[in-house]
Amino acid sequence: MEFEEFAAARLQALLRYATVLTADPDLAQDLVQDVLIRVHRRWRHIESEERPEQYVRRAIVNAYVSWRRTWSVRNLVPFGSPPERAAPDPPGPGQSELWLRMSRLPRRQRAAVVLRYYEGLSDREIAEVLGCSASTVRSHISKALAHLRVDLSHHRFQEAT
Amino acid sequence: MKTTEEQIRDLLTSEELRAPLAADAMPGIHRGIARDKRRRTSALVAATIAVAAAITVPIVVHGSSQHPAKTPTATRPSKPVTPQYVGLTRISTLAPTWLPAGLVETGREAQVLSTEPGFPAFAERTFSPADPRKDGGVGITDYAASAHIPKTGTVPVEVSGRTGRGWATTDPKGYEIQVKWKAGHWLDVTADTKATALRIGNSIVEHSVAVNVPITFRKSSTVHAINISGSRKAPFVTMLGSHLYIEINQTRDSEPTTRALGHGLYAHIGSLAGRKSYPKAEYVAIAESFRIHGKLDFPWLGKRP
Repeated sequence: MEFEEFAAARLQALLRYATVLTADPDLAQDLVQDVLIRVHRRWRHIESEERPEQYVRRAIVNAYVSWRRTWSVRNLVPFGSPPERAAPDPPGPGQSELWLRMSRLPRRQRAAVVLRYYEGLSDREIAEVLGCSASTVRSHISKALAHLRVDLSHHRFQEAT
Repeated sequence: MKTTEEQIRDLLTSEELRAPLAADAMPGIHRGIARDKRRRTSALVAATIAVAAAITVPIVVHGSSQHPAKTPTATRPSKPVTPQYVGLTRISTLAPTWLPAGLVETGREAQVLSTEPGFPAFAERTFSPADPRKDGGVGITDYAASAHIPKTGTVPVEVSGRTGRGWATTDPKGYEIQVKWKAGHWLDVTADTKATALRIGNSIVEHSVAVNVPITFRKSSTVHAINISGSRKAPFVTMLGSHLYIEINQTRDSEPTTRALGHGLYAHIGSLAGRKSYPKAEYVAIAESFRIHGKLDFPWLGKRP
């Protein structure tokens, strides 16, 4: 498969994945673009991997947790391009508190939560993606859940009073 | 009532709906790939020229060729022109006195302002093989604070009597070390092996070089970062702000947001996708306000430090 075919077929899925990961559509677009530009450079090597999309997803997670907003990242728009599309609003009122709390989690914790609850990966698989041990993954998820539970119960308590 | 885990699943699923459209992202990828190719081509041409020059020009004595670039202040005219913003500058104070053979300086990058907690300002120098078809390279960064050290999988490393952390990296495959050099300066070195990273780290001396572009323009946006790459004959500069980018290269066009800078270089200004932008007239006004102070030249590109 050529890089162009891969990008055309999988770009939307990768953008969805990155948006879930980052909770920030702009950053998601930056990350996916940056990763795909780098992937293009090494496509012959990556294509020979058993699952190139998994490689790209791992690269997106790594780019997110170890971030440096490098330069190929930004989506530069010369004039004459189609008008920009406004980013949709955050989720509705029922989810806004959880969304806010999730977006404040440290990046590695958020990545671990997304890989567990969105990707359905096991601790061992998450550890492989994040480059840490399975026990560290459990610790990330446990801390994140504790933080979210406390905050949510606090929020509900406030609502009740 | 739903459990926290169920609420998280629901939230993450609904988050998908906020994803940008592929049709919006694809042009940026194509432009990025084209930019990448131009940079690599420029580097290849520069390498060819360098090889040809090396036949007749004596090799520069190691460590003696590079002096700190003048800051914009030094080149500012005696009577400041109307534009209020002086080109972005950040100084890297940590320089190597040893690098693997065959590497030349191929880029400088700086984040002048910290734009996100945990991601401090920095100045980075990149060294790559003179032959861009070869892999491998070195990055030396002077961070204002500790940055992105993994919480696990690191080991203590000793660099010039200072203890820091070292860890293996996967993309690109190699090794990274980071050590607090002094207050406000954290040294970060990436290389293909631990031994190389440590040897470079132990060769570091305090020597200032500037990451800057001597250009001023109408002050209407904060520009916080800069990247210089390409070759001396065909430099490629990008500056990023909260609402705009400025790209300097050899591409000529008739857009009102493009400004000729002389020496075959043109500045192009535009907006960043997905972010608040100004009316086009403001970008045109910024382009018209561009002034160069001093020669737009990057003599360090393609050379050893």
